[in-house]
Amino acid sequence: MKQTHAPQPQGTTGAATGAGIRRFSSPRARRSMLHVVERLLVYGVLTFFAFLFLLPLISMLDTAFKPRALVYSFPPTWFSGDVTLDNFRFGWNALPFDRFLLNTLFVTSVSVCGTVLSSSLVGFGFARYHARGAGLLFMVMLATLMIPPTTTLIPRFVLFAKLGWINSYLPLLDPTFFGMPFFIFLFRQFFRSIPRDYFDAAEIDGCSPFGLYWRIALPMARPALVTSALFATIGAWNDFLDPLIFLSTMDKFTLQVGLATFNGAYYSQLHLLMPMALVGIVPVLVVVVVGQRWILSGLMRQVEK
Amino acid sequence: MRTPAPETTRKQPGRLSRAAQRDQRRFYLFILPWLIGFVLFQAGPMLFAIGISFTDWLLVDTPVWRGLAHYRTMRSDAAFHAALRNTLYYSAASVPLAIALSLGLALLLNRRWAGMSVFRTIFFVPSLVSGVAVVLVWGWLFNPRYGAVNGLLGSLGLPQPGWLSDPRWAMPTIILLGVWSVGGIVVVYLAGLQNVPTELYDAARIDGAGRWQMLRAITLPMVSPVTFFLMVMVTIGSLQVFAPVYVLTEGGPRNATLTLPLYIYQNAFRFQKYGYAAALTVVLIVIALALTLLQLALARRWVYYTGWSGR
Repeated sequence: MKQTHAPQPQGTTGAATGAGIRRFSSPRARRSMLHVVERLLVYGVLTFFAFLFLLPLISMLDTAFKPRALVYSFPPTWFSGDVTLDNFRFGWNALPFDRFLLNTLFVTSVSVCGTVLSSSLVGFGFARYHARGAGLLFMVMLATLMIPPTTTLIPRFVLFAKLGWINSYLPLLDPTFFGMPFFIFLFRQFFRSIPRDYFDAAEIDGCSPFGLYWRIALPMARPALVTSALFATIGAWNDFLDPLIFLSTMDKFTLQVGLATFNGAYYSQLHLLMPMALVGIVPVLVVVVVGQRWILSGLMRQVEK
Repeated sequence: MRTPAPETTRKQPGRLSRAAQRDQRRFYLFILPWLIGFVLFQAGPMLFAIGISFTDWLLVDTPVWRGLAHYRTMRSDAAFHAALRNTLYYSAASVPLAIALSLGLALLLNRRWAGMSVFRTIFFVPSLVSGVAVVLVWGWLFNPRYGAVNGLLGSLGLPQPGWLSDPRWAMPTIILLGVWSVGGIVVVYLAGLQNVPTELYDAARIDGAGRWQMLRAITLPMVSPVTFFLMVMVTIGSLQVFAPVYVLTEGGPRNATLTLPLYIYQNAFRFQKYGYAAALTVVLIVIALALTLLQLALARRWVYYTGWSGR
C-alpha cells in the first residue's frame, strides 16, 4: 500500500517543516501540499482499519499451521516458518469431518438450486404482471425481510417435528423452494430492466407464460442468477441455527454444527481449533474473492429501493 | 368492450378486461410458491408462536392452557431480565457503531485513488464469512493468555482484559465481532454516495462551501434514505445474536452474554419448555416491531427524500 503515494513524500517532508512553508506560500502550491497531507491521512486511516479487519484472518492462518508448542509460547511468535499439518490431521480425524463436508455440500447445492429457481419464478411474476393486490403483496414480501428468523424457530420446529422430519434435511431444504424475499427482490429488479418488447414479441409468437420465464427471462438474467447463487451458497454454508436444531445425529451434521461440536469437545485444546476454523472459512473466502464483482453488484441494487 | 389498457381498467373497480383477468391469474400463479411459503413458514408460525405461548406443551402430549402464566413468570425471571438487557445493550451499542464506522469508511473510500478497491475488498470480505468458524477465530483472537489482541496490547504496555471471561468485557467482545462484519454496509453506503449528483457539490463549491459544510448539508441528507434502510436492517440483525454466544460463552460469564435468541433456544431445546420459549419469542417479535415502528416514526424528522432515483 505504501507504494501508491511513494512519489510525493519527498516534497511533503520539506513542506511540513517550518522552512518549507514559505517556499509553498502561493495558493496553488499550498493546495497541492494539502492534497498530499490528505492523501497521507486517508491512506493512513484506511491502512490502520485494514490491519484491524485482517487481523483475525491473519491470526487464524498463522495459528492453523503452527506446531503445538509454538501456539502456547510466550511472547507469541508470528509466522515462524515452522509449518505442520499435525493439528489439522488430528482435528479432521477426531470427528467425521469428511462426512460434515459432504453433508454441507449436499445441503448447499440443493438449497441454492431451490432458492434460485423459486425466487426467480416469483420475481418474474412480480416484474411482468399487473394484478390487483400486487403492490400490496410486494410490500408484504419486503416487510418479511424484517422478520427475524429466530421468531419462527419454535413453531417451525413443532411443525417439522409433527411431520417427522427432524434429523433429515427436509426442514433445511424445503423452505428454499418457496422463494426468498431478498432474492425475489433481486430478480424482480433485474427482470424489470429487460425491455418489455422481448416478452410481447415472444407472446405474439405463441410463447406460454412459463416459456416467457424459462426461455426468455431466465437466460437473460445471467448476472442476477450468478449473484443470487453466490449469496445463497454463502448463506447456506454459514447457516448454523437451523441445522443445529433440526439435525440430531453426527452423521447428518453440517460443517457448522460439526465445528460447534468439535469446539465443545476440544475447547481446551486451543491448538486444534484454528486448523478446523480454516476448513470452515477458506471455501467461503474463495467464493467471495472469486465472485466479488457479482456479489457487489447485487448489494448495490439494494440502494435503488 | 372496454379498452384493454391497464391504466383504464384499474380505475374501474367492478370488472376487469379479459386480458387483465388473464394477467391477474398468471401473476398469482407465478407468485404462488412465495405465498404458500409465506403462510407456511412465516405468517403461520408467528401466529402459532403466540398460540403456543399460552400453553405448556412437550410436543408429545396435548398442550395445557396456561393463559398468561408464562408472561407473569417473566416478571420475576432474572435470566430473562439479563437476556432482555443484553439484547438491548447489543443493539444500542452495535447499531450506531456499525453505521458510523461504515459511513466513515465509505466516505474515505469514495475517491478515485489507487488501491481503493483493495481496501474495499479487505473491509467487505469479513462481512460474508460468518458462522461458527469465525466465532472460533474470535475466541482465539481474544484469548486472554495466547490471543493476538492481548499479545499486541501487552507489547504496547497496555492493560490486557480477560475479554470473554470478564463479565464487563464479554459483551463488548461479542459486539466487536458484529462490527467486524460491517463491510456489507460499507459497500451499500458507497453505492449511495455515488448516487449523489455531483452538480450539488459543484454548486456548493461555487458558493464557497467548505468540506465540512458540504458533508453536513449535502452528503448526509442525500444518503439519509440509505442510512435509514441500513439502520432498520442492522437493528433487526442485532436482535438475533446467537452463534457467538452459543459457541463461545453459553451466555456467561454470569449471564453477561445471554441474549434473547440464546435464552429462547435454551428454554426450548435444553429445558423442553416450549411454551415459555414461545412466550419469549413473542417478546422478541414485539421488540423487533416496536424498534422498526419507532425508526419509521422518527424517520420523518431526519430522512430526506428527493425526486432523485435510479430509474
